[in-house]
Amino acid sequence: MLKIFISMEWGYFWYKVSAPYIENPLLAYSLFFLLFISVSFFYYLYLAKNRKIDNIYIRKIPALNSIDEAIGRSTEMGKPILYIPGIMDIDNIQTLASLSILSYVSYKCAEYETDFIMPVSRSVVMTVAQEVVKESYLRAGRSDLYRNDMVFYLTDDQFGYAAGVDGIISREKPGAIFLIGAFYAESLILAETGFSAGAIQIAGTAMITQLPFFIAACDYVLIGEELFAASAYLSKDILDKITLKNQDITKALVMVSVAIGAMINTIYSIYPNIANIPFINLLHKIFQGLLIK
Amino acid sequence: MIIIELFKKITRRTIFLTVAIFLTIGAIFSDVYWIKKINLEMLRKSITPASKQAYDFIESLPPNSVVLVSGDYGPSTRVEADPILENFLKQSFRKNFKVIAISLWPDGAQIVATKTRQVASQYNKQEDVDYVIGGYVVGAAVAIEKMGVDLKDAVPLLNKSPAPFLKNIKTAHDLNLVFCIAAGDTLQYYIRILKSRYGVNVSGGCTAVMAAEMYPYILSKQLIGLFGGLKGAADYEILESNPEPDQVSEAVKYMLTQSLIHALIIIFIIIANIVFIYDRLKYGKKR
Amino acid sequence: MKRELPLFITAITGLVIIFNYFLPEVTGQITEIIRKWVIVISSFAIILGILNLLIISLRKTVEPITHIDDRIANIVLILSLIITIIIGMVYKVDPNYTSEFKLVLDKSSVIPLINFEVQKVDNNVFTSVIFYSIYNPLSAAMFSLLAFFIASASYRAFRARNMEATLLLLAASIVILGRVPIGDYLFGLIGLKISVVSEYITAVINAAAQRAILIAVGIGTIIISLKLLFGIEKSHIGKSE
Repeated sequence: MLKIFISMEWGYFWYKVSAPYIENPLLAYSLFFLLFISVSFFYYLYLAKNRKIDNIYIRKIPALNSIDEAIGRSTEMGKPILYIPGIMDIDNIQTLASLSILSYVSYKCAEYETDFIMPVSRSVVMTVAQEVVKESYLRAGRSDLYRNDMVFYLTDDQFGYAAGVDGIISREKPGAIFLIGAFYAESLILAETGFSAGAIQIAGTAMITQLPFFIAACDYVLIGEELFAASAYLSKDILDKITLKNQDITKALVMVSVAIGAMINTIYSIYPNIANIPFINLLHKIFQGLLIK
Repeated sequence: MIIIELFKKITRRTIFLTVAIFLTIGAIFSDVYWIKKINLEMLRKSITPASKQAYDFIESLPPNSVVLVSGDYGPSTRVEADPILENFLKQSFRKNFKVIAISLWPDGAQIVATKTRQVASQYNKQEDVDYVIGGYVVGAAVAIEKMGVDLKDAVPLLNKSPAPFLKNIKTAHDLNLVFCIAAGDTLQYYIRILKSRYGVNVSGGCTAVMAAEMYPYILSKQLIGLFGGLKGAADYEILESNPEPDQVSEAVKYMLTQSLIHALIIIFIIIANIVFIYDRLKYGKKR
Repeated sequence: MKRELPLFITAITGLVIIFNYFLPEVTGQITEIIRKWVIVISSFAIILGILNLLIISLRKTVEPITHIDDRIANIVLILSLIITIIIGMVYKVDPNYTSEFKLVLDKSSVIPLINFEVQKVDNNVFTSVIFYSIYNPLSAAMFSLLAFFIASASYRAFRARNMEATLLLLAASIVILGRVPIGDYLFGLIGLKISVVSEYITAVINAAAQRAILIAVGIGTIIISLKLLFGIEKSHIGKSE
């Protein structure tokens, strides 16, 4: 492709670039959507950096407000904190979101001098989490309390991990358990064991199928996108918080698209003659392209 | 009331013990002929539309279609997933499809390979002629993306196979169907990558917990039907084999046990609500 | 540099992968190289995890402060890890079937009879013993715990505290019964096909809610990915303040 570009065979170059879009028109919609999110992302960043927006209103998220309470309760009871970042690898966005909450939780544990236990299921997550926790203890000025085996690897196997964590809960009897990240079927096993140990449980996942189990068994739950908003919520930096506005505006775009598209396709299916109006015809063609063939 | 006081004494141990008793009863009685007959009749009348859609699509594929089956599950979910895999392989070999069997889970590779060879021997199918074992494919989503560009690069064992049907297969686009039996995220990866970007037909099965999550994909036609959980496995067996009561496999038999446990859960929910409403009426909301 | 280099690598590789989705002809070759690196790194990561596990287990075994139960558990862990690796390397992972005469209980008749049958026996220790006789049942046992936990969680969670909880309770009950034959059998006595109602709840009402959460989670994923790509989210490499 570089040779085609350098040789200035522009016609052939643009043909090659546009071929995937002709074959799969949905790609064009994805591109538009991504461009919209990116432009609004940079726009809000610009507003935040130039102090045009100093603060934004974020509704209360009880699960995040209760983190301090949970850690405080554990400290008073002399029990450790257990943090479980899910069972997926570092490439999963929920694990990364969990690590941003881990930073806050481990900072608070360092401040309150509470014992911290973090079994992990993936070795790369272990390495990254060790760095995050060490950094948090350093920031809190309590690097003397940090030990490398606070964060340790158990097993990649889903139920082997669940068995290991259940054993840790039964032996260590933590005062608070954080179940934040991507979970599968083992979520209920972990949550129920934590409930039977009498710990305060704060869970958070974007796995839709596991949410009901966490809601049934845990005290506080971060549902879906609240997990991704957590780092912005806990941060004092406006640069982190402003991305929530970006999320909202994108959701507004999706809602408007769904409403208009549903209306247009419904009207067209009842009154096909409405396609004679050029504007309606254009809208219909645009939203028709979004239907999966 | 005495009965309410008795209900209030129900603890987690009581629940666990009752579940264990019902499981044992289900295991014992699932082999009784007349119970199997009633179970089978009920299942025949309640085949889910999603299972029917998947079965009909596979049935409509022409002979010599090349299908990829991805058994992405481990020993823990074998009870739900193995019957789906077995029935898919039976349908494929009956229809003379050419099968490529892989797994994106390391402990699934062993299970898929063994099951494929076992079913193939029942239909006199030969390895490297009618089917190929691709083994464990490293990389999950990355591997699926590679399949869209170069299938043999994504599944290296295909390069070593002399199967004649592989000569015309370059990318996933050349496959007639990708059938994924997933206990994790892999079915969604196949839909998002292979279906959305490359237009490959995707169908599959999953555990019962995940089935509810897949319905948006079925309704938007990104997923062609779904065999969800043990019910889906039982549906597939009935559609494929149309068994008599004494010929049913574990998927249909174990639906009896599942029925008993579901009924028990409803009984516990009713008991819990009776106690709750009684306390609310007697002591008011404050208690 | 310790903080900037990972951010720079993240940004470049992330942007290349994104460009590849929209301009596959332009960035195809670089993306292939990056994909191969990902596979190699994830394979090496397994070794990292095993080493960490071994080191911590050995330390706990040797330390005098460890409780005797923990010491035994760690010894079992280390031994099973080493034995599985050795057996896997010696015997390989393909089954080795031979036909043997075996005594089999014939369950098909009313009085159980003992018969001779030719059965296929797997002589590979790794597959027959380690995988199918030890690992399979242990995994299945752990998964089967869910049946008990779901029963106790349902007993605790499904109470008609208010209108929303009552609706949840009714929907859950219909779906629980509609997914199994006994539901149709019981409600068939009053002429109602509960599996149809259950299917409607799952395919229409549940799907609508799932779509909403899926879309919101998808948008959140894109935003947090952009934050990671452009270095605004730095918690995975440690915050600097």
